[in-house]
Amino acid sequence: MNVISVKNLTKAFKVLQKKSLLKDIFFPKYQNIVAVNGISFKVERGESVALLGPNGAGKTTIIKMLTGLIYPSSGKIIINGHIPSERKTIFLKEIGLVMGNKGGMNWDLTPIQSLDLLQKIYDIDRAQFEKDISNLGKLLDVTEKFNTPVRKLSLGERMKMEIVASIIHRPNILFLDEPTIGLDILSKHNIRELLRNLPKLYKTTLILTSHDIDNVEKICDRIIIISKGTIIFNGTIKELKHTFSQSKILTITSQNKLSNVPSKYRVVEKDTKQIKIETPSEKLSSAIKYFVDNYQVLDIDISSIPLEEMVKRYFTS
Amino acid sequence: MDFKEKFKTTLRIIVPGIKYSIQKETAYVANNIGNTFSTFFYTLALVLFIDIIYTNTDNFANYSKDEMLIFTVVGQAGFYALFIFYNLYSNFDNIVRRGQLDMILVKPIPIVPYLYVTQMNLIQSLRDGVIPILLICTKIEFTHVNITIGSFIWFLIIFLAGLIIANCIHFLGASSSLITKASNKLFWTIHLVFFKSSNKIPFEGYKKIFGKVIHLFFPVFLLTGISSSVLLNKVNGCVYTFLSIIICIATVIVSNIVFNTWLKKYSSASS
Repeated sequence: MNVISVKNLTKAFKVLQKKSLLKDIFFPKYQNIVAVNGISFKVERGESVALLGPNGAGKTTIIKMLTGLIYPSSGKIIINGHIPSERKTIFLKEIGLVMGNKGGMNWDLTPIQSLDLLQKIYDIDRAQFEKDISNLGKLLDVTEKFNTPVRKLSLGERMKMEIVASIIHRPNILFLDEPTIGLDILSKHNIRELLRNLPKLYKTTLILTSHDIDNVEKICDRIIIISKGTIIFNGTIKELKHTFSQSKILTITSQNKLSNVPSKYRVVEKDTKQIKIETPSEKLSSAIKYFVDNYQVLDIDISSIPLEEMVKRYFTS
Repeated sequence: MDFKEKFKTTLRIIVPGIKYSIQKETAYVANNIGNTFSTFFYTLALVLFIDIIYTNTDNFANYSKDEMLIFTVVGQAGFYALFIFYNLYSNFDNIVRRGQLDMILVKPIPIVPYLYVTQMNLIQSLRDGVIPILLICTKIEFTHVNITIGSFIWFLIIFLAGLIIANCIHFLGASSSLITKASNKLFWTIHLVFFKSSNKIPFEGYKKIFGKVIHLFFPVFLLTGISSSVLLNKVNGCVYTFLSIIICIATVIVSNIVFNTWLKKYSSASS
């Protein structure tokens, strides 16, 4: 069952073309910048979908339209039977939003003070609220921090609190815009674990934007790659990997110097005694043979093209 | 259905919202103690100024000294009542530009009541306002002024209507940042022109037609000028109460329409 249905969605912004102070005031000229250009996609209940794309691709604009923060210029969005831009109470109760670079909590108050207000806003049963706070505190390792003013928390702890605040009402759909930006490995791990389990726990649908491919791989079932406001790939990670499956990365570690490698091998990375080449799968054995015959090979490693590289190629294609 | 739900949510968040505001205000214990002192000395200077003016005359702008003190009390009360929400207006720019508004807009709450209840300066307004007002009251000879129960009731209605109008106009000025992203200067202009100037001169101090035009065309002038004039039985309370209610309703409706239009045009200030 589809919970999100997006059809021909477009968003254009009018941007002032700056000339001079007087001209800008009396004869302003605007340019239409198309941030999102006629995209369509669907998301099923409980699915985790990542929106990937380079900076300025339109990911955050899409999230903002999906959450009803901005109105689309044209096209249609239906989420759980609601039009987000109408901002109906029933719709807003069903969604949660985390923005990595913005905080919804008051800087001077403790997280629990902000969460208490959320309990009233969402009319959450007090016992359930306390139970969830306790569980989420343990899962994210922040139990001790609920009574510390937000300004005294580390970036990772603050982000964890933001995530607690966005899921405390158990939303059906959770939108996350760069939720692990600037976090250390441990914090990222905690957050990933929680997000990976959310669809199982509450049947929550996740829509995530991230530049961290590790996040995407560990949390999401499907990825949508966006470039210049249009969708250039929409499928599972398996499908994306399949499109690149005809190529492999061969890593050769040698005892002697790896020099004079023929130009027919596409070198990905090169060190004096280690080389990474990309080769078509059918030519893998001949490549291995070449290196074994010509160098004192210590180790051979065959791997698929990393997901990050695949996505990068899509961005630049 | 949605209106009913929003109304219920508003009722549900009033108390916790005010509690949240108070928690924010009291997060720093020593906050704004200086403001209390400066307000006290400002009021003292004001009372002395009135004392000096009335040393050589019994009547100024058709007001006796006690009437002028009443006018001053009403002006101060209006100022501190408006100050309760001053934080919201002066911070609206930041709320929009830093993207906090985005985080509020995704919550199932009516945005205007939420902003009002969570951005109050309740403690500070009371702390700074009560002492100066009581100080001025001690200087008033209440037997020398013509205040009746009727005029007091009309006064309360006009004062409340004036307060709502003043808040609507301030809110619109501040919320223009939804489309301009910067409204602080506009809000300040509104605050200085329409409010600070409005509680300095009594209604009767203006020439008759000019006074009526300025008080009805710039309705924030109702808050102090007309309300104190009605309280002192200088003008017909019934007529001005009716007028102030009409103007108040019109201002609320217009502000609501303008705010919702701006909210539709809001394009989220940050990415």
